[in-house]
Amino acid sequence: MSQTTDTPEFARGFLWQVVLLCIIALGLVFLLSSGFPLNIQVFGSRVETTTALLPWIVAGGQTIANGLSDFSGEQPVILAVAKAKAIVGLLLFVVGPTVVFLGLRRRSIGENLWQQLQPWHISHVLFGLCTAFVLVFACAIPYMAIRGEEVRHSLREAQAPQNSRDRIINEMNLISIDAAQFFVLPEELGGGNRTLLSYQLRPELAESAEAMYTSRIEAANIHVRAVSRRYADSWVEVTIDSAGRMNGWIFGGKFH
Amino acid sequence: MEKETITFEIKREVSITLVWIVAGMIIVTSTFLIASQSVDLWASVNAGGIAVILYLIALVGYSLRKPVPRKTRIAVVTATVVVLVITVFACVRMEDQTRWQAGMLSDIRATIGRGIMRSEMSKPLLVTLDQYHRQGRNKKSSLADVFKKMHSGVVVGVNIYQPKWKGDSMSVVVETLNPDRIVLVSQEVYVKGKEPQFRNLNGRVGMVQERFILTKRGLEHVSDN
Repeated sequence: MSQTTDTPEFARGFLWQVVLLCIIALGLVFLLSSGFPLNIQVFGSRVETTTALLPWIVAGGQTIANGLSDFSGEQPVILAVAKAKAIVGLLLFVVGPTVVFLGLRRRSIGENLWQQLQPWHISHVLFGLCTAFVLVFACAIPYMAIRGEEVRHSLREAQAPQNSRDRIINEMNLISIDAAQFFVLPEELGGGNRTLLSYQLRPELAESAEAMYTSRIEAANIHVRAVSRRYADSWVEVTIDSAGRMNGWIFGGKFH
Repeated sequence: MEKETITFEIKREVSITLVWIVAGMIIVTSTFLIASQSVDLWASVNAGGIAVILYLIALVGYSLRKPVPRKTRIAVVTATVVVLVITVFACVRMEDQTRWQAGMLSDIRATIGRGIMRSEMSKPLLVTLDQYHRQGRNKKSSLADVFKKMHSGVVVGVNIYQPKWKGDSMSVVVETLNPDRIVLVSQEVYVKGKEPQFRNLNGRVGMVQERFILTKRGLEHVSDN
């Protein structure tokens, strides 16, 4: 036996572990670079891998699923699968670090252990897998945190104008109802007596926290323009007929 | 002899590892299950997460005790703390983000719902107002009479709204049906409104509710919640 293979650092078990770690790390990097979450087919069934087992991803998915249930008018239901996934995800953070930390301790204080252990021993394989999991997670979590912040920022930036636009549309809906009742009311009650020609926006409808509204008569219809207060150069236009129907929506600026 | 000692040492270490794993699993799983059993997983995940952190602190303390070199201890503890802090940050931000997204869905649903409510309530009331004023100065029918002609058999408390789709939980209820005053109230079963403590007409609490009041002078809109 040469001098180099006598030292624990270059023992057969150690080299085997390095090779195993490299293979696992390369495999995981390949999976991670394929996109999150990755779906694979096992005997015809779809199985979600990678981040799908991280407990906070599972909990987040459940929260959004509850939001979607609310949205569609259904009672939110917690799935047993989601609960099981979250528990398994949490337990990965128990099993992985335990095998790694206790394994490292064993290796750091028992110098001859590398030489004595069988390379294909189950504890070696488990240690290799857990070390790969812990290392990949430790390397990936900063990236995931940064990416999460980017997504968070872009989502909020994109959603805010949409919400403002929806509120303006609702306020224009009230204007259309006001116009329709103006059309049917007689003059002595402040109406137009079956015409919109003298319609003017009431002060409480002409201004809100979202927008400033102006109106003009156009071919017996009312043309309403809302200019956003929150977003400069953003506006909405619509034409309202005598029955209160809204047509010809035009959106400008960030509302486009 | 030396081989026997090593085998014994390995078995002992494997046993200790198994004890740690089993204890950790029991602590984390029971904490997860004891925490809130609502439709939201966050309470359980957060409780389980705290149990994992406490477990890891104990594990790191145990596995890095002497004779592990001081430099190794400092390096491992630093790396563990950094990874834990980033993980907790990612977790907290994920909770905040998904709650915001779910809240946003609810807001969008409420906005759409209010639009539909206003449209569905104003239509019959505007037709009633139109028919009422078409009678001229000498009116024979009251607002209620005109409304009843359009909705035969209608009485106070009746829902005049026809669901448009399977999950459509909206309703338009006749709250008042006086000769010169009609009040329609529309509400959603699941969509939350502005005030969480608001008591809806159907007995639910905190849901969206809109109201239209019709008199001969026109419609008045009130956003109850």
